[in-house]
Amino acid sequence: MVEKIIDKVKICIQCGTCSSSCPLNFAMDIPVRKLIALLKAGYSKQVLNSRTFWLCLSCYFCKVRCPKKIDLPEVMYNLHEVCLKQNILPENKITLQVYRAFIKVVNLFGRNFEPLMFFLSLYKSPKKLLKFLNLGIFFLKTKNIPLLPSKIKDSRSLKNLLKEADLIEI
Amino acid sequence: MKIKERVGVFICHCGTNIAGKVDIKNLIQKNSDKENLFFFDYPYFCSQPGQALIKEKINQLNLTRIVVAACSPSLHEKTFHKVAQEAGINPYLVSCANIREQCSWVTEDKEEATEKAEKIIFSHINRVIYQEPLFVKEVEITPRVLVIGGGISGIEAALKIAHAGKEVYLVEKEPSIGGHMAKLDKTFPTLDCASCILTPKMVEVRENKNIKLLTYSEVEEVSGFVGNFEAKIRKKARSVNLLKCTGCGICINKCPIKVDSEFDMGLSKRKAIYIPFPQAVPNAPVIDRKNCLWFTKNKCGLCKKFCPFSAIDYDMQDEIIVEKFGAIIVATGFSLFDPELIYQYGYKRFPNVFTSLEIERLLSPTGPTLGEIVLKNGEIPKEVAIIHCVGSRDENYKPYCSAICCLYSLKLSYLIKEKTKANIYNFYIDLRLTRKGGEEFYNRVLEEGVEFIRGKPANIKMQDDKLVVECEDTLLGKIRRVKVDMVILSPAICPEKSTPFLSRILGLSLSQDGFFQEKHPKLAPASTMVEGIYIAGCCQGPKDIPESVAQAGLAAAEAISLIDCKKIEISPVVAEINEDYCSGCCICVNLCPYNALEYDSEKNKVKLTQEKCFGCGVCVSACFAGALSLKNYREQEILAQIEGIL
Amino acid sequence: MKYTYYPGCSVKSTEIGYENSLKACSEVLEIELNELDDWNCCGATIFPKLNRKAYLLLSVRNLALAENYGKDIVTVCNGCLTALSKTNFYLQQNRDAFEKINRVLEKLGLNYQGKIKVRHFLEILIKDIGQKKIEEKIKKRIRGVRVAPYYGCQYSRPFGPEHPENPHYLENLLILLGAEVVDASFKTNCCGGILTIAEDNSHKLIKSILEDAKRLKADFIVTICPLCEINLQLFQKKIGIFIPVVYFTQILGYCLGIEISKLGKEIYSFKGLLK
Repeated sequence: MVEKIIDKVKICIQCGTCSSSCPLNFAMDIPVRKLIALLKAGYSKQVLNSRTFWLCLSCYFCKVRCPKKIDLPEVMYNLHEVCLKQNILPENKITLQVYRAFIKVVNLFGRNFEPLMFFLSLYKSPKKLLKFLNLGIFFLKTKNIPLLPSKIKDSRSLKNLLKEADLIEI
Repeated sequence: MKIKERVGVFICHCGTNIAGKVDIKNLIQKNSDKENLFFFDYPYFCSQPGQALIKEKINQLNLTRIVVAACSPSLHEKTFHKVAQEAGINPYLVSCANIREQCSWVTEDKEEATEKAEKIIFSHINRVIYQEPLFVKEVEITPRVLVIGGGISGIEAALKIAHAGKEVYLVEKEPSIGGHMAKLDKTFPTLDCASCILTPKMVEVRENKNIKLLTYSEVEEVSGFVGNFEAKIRKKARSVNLLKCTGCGICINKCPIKVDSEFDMGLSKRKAIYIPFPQAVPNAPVIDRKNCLWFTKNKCGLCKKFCPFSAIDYDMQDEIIVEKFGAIIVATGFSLFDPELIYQYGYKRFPNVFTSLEIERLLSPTGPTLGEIVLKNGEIPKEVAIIHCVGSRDENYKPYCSAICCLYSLKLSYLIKEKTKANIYNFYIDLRLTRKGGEEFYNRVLEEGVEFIRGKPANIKMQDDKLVVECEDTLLGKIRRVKVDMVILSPAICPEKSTPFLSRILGLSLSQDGFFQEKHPKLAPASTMVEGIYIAGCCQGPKDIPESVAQAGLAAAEAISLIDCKKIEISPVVAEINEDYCSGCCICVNLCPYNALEYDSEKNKVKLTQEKCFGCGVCVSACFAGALSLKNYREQEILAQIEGIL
Repeated sequence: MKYTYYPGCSVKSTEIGYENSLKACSEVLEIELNELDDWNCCGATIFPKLNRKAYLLLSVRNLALAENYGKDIVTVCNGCLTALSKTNFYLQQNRDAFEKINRVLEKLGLNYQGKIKVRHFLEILIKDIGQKKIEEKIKKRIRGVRVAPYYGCQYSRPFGPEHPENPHYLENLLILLGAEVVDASFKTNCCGGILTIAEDNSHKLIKSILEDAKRLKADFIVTICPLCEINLQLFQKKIGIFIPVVYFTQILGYCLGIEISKLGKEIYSFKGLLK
């Protein structure tokens, strides 16, 4: 799988536009550009264990500015997938909690339902949950807090569809 | 089949290349009884004795057609044509059968090789009977050259041609010759003053009797073919009589209208009547009719009123000049990429973000600041960033490398540091310093303390009145935010704006990057696929001054050698059109890569200019009506060749 | 003008005000929005990280359902816009994958031919409806109010009708409504997206946007994406910079003369500024 990723970045000339464009570059342990260089050089273990791609916001600054038009967010997504298959978890546990919560809710209702998603993301980290509830007070003033989730009617077919997804060879 | 002609078949051994696989002796013996067919073989027919043998046999046996079965015709067809001609046979009655590259070299099986060789030989025997004698056409060459573009390349080419005693027209669209080089302050790596080395050449162009200088003029139409081009040139109305004007400048002083100066890249103003720069050739003003009050509102008229020599002529009209030329040299130069397209670099959004050409104007003693490097508020910058590869090496804009930016960025670093003592930061991806003296210049610049940061900046931001360049220093692996007062962008070198138009009227192809396509990138960089039209300088691709001058010299040499021939031979292997069959559908016109076919609206038929034809045959295969045929490759010849195989 | 409306999960829950203002504006401007029946979540920027095949199929199901309606999809969320557009692009570029995916879809009785385009409502307003028609319907103008346009990152990237870093449709709209638009360099910067829950570092991005908006003396920020709106609002208390953030449809709705009560609660946050 890592070979396929390396294939995408063969053309990189290491200019560094991606690292400098990335809004969260200050929080990364390995700059984006260096991550690509390490991948090409075969240091995949170091790459998969880094914090960098977990911080990708999908803002696409890197992709539109890359002089070789490399689809970097796609590379970051692929690295996420490889990590989870090899059970390499991120430093920030809450990130994965959020993702897993989202997926659970979508699998359940076919659509996201924020209150449940929030709760499932943060129930394991009560301090953070409290912080958010504190901030969330403004929500009561200006937002509508839904009590019931919006669901799709044919949730069984969606579940089947997603099961079939894993079997397609693309 | 009875063969009426006396056909000589000369089978070459080519050492063991052919003889090693093809059983030539057996082949000859097998066919020795055929009437009017005479077989001979020899180790190397291309050698002197081999050629002599062919001539001998032709004379001895009164042969009327020749088949040479040997290597590929691309190697020795001309040789055998010459041999036949010397022996008194029309060279186009010779057919070269390839039994080497297409036979002995592609199999290990001797039986197969011999069988195939026999078939190939007989196909050519069949064909050669139908071939008709063809004669080379001679056309006279007009001994005059047209050079389009008056930058350093055009000037150099024109001078070389003039020195060789030939007449040359130099057409330049701006009011003065000089091109981009006249805008520069100093050139790398010698730091020669650009004007000082350019202006003597410009003056020479003016003084040389062989050069007819047409400034403020554009080529509108070109027709004809090599040696016989006809060009229509529009000499735009300058509104100033060049014979009366002395260049005193009173008119310019009196003019009330101020407009952005194109020569100063918009950094200063010029008047509606103006001389683009002090050393302009011709040193006479031109009226910009789009902005002049007289032409737009019928007011003012001060320039004419105050001219002591009555040189201002408001009634002057554009003049159309039609002239014949033997060769054309295109030297139209380049245009600069507009960095406004790269939003994140803040060009035209933030103050003090300049392009390299704008800085050249600031550095120049004749520029808007008389050579002072200052910010928009008049202060001297203390920190300057130079960003390489703005728009170059970038799939989003121009994928190619612009060749000169690294070198001139070093030059700008040196000159700016010298003038302002500022800290200079070069943001680069790679340093391409291939010019002679380039590496030494790099050492010099490093010694002066100029800094190099390897990383392409993500963007430029404004923070508290300072410009901040954000980039990853890839050699350190750290993100750096460098605060500077001034940012200089090195934009890509792009094809000049008239390139698509000229390519259409001249029939020149463009390469993928939009520059003119050379005939061969290594061995014929100044020629094009159109015989008689040459290219020089940046119009063929980004390059620096020494390379432009070299290429201009090559183009001039090509043009001179063409013109010196006085006559040119046109190959007879060209297409032929039978007008009776032509319906005027014009499918062939668009297919011809050499623009040899034209639609004649009066006759509703297609007209073929045989002198432009290269005999590629595309039109012949496309013509549904069969109106087109290719000499030496007519239907009868090809069908006979096929029959010979079957 | 008719379109298939793809709401996305946010506007059906906390951001119902956005949807209300969207529907109100569409009515006045004679735009018919038919909500896609039984649409599913687009997968946002989370599914592609964990299961890219599921991500593709989530979008393809929506696109296939929309194809039955025969009209282009209009959305008001950048995340949904990107998910659906990316899927369309991927299918176009990978014909074998497209066929394999269609075979799976057929098991559900669905099929996708690749004919549906996905567009943001902002683009529809400027390109399809046109500034002239909008101007005819304007009843009020918000003069003397300084507005900062904020597109968020996924409107113009990776796909979009405008320049990836310098779109201007929102500015065009706001100028039409009479506002004084500030030159917001941050207009396509990322708000932090979904990571703001987990990663405190991402709050720096929100801080810099709010700081820039305050420095430019903007009275409020106008957004075009529910996640951007939530992020910019939710963390103001923590960051300590307060500036109202509203949706473009709410401002538009106000100027079209629609009753404030129909435009969603966010609009009350700058009632004081409106004349």
